[in-house]
Amino acid sequence: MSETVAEAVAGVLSPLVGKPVAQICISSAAIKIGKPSEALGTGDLEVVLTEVKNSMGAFTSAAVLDEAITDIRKRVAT
Amino acid sequence: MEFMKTVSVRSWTVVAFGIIVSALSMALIRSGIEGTTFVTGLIANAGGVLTVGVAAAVIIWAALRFGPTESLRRQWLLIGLGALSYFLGNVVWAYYEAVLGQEIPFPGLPDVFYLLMFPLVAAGLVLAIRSFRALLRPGKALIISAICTVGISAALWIPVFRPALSDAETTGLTKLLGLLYPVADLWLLFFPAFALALLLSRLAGGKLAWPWWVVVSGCVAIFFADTMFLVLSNAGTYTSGSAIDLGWWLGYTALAAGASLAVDIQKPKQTGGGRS
Repeated sequence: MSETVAEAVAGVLSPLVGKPVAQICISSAAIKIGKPSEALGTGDLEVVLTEVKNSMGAFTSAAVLDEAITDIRKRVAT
Repeated sequence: MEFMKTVSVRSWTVVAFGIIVSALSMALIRSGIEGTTFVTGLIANAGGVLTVGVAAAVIIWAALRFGPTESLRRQWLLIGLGALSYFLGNVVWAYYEAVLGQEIPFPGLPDVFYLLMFPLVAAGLVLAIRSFRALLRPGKALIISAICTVGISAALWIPVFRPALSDAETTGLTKLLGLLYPVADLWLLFFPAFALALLLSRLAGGKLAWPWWVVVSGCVAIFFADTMFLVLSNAGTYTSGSAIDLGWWLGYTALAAGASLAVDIQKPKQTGGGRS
């Protein structure tokens, strides 16, 4: 069963940056789109992923970011 | 356990090397081996030269594993260059003691390298703090850290700052340097390290924070050793090979272990050389 975008992002990012920071990342993407976090849908995925890249890029390697983004896509799709 | 699975053999080797060399060096010093100035000087300085030298090499290697445009490369490279500078200071210090058999001049050439370490490591730590700013506002952490640093400065006034200021025999540059060391320790090492620790505490155990926790512990060990060195030097009781030297040796080992752990966790793409 596929996860919501918020669940997928939280599931992938929490082991990396902890739950609170993963939630901040989701919230900031949701604010940009103008929706509540739980209403983020697959149509918002690209904006959310761009936000993840922008907010984590300075303290995360390109390899880990790429892996995280691939995992989020998989969790949303499957 | 997640942590044990993540840490590579290389990272454990870095830690083991630092601990073994530190323990052996201290044991040799404590055994009171008599010999030529060269032998005793070499034994007294081997721990500092070996541990810090290897630490500098490991940190710079780790930094270069990251791509040229990645912020992580700059962060680790600055810390690595700081360790390299300190290593060069130790080499010059050992040269004076072991080869020339002379008292270390103060101010002297080692001070140039020792003092250069502070802005380099501080710049690396500041870049690390800045890297989290898109998600975590560092303002509060910086303010709390500044308040703590002022408090520690006040606590160190009597054992560290007052002797440096009131020493009638020293003037000019010597007095300035005597003050520069504790000020740099407080504001270029402890302050950014503590601010980084406060930020990391918000990552709630996320594994991207692990390498920086190890770095923070290393900075605290170096800060403690530096402070004790100043206290003992003011009392005229410091000699190379004192127990406080362990703070430097293990502190730099921690910086190297943090850098190696960063490679384990961040899995940088190949930028040259084989993956170990």
